[in-house]
Amino acid sequence: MSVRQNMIEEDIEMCIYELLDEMTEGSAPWTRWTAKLGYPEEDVLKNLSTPVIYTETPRFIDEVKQQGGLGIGKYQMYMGAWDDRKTGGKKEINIISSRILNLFRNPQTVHTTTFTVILGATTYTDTDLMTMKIRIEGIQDLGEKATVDTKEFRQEYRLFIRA
Amino acid sequence: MANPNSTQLAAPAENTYLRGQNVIHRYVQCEATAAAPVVWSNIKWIQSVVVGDPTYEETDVFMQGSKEKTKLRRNPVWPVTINVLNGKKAQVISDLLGYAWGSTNYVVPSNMSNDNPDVILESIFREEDNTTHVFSQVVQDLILDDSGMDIPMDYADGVINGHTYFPPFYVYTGYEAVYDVWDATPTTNTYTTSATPATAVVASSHDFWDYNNAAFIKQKDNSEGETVGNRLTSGAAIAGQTLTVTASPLATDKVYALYVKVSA
Repeated sequence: MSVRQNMIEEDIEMCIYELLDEMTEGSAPWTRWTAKLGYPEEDVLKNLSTPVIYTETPRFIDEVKQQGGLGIGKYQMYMGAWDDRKTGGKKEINIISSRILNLFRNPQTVHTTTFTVILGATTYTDTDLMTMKIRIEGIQDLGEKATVDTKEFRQEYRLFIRA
Repeated sequence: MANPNSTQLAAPAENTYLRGQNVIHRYVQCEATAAAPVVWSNIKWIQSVVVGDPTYEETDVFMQGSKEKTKLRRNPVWPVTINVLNGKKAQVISDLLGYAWGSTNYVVPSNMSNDNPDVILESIFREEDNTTHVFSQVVQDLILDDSGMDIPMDYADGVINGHTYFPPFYVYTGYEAVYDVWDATPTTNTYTTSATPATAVVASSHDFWDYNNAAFIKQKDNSEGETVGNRLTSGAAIAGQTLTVTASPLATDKVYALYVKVSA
């Protein structure tokens, strides 16, 4: 079982998204949020009643090389959190941010939390990032992103991935 | 001319690219209180463990009447450097020396009293999940060295120097080092190991290895005033879980064995 090298960027994003989706279906406070595949359009965002954790497509940035053959790809993937409920405070986005960092900074949790993902025609039930041959090398908090409305809050992160 | 070999190697598996960040280090005292097995203690605060290339005493031996020479290499020494978070340097030195830092010991010296082995250090390489074992590295009979004390302005690692006279070795996936120590029973020649040793290496094809299924078997003879266990190069064997020493130990003697077993 593994992500497909000829569909690698899509497969990595699908796996990370399904992991986050699994977290938001788990226990509080994750259940207060919704996972979204891709950066949500504004009209979609307006119709959501919960803060959103979104993923963006990972991008190939480097390779672990060996002489005479193929290498292991290294990717950078942006993801973010967006609270547009206009509650007037940053508390919820701060909680989301803390939970995201805590998840991706814990090697045992992030690599062994199970989720189900469909890649192409194959369904992988109760799999995890380790099994799908994805390794999270680190996460970077990129800070707040500007929003149109000052009552909305948005935070972005960069994941470092090996696959 | 045709390409003699057009093979393109497949990409390496994910667990071929490992980081020290996912390694966990643990140790046992060489002169631990008798237990089979001796329980390993994990070491926190490690930044790196570096085992350097060995150095040897080398001598060229000539023979009268011949132009040829024989090069002798003897007495290898492997230097070992342990870098720790500076704030815990004293704690780690104390732990490795077997002192109870902060409870019965409040001072740890920067110079070492002797050249006796202090600890066996096992470094366990895992994958990114900090769980899946890839392989391990064992430094046997590590001796801590005298050290300086450096207090720079900025953050820095604390450096602990050491050395060993015996080769560090690697342990296969799914296997782990085991250290058994027994208080000898007079006239008892057989002792039961806590696990079944796996075949380590074919001793006859490797220097320094005396047994196929033990890194070492030691015996300490207190009647001779020995303070540490000494390696047996003969007169001992392990079959199954039975360790047999030929020389009957005395009441206060100790018997030790370092080997590897399949992890549970």
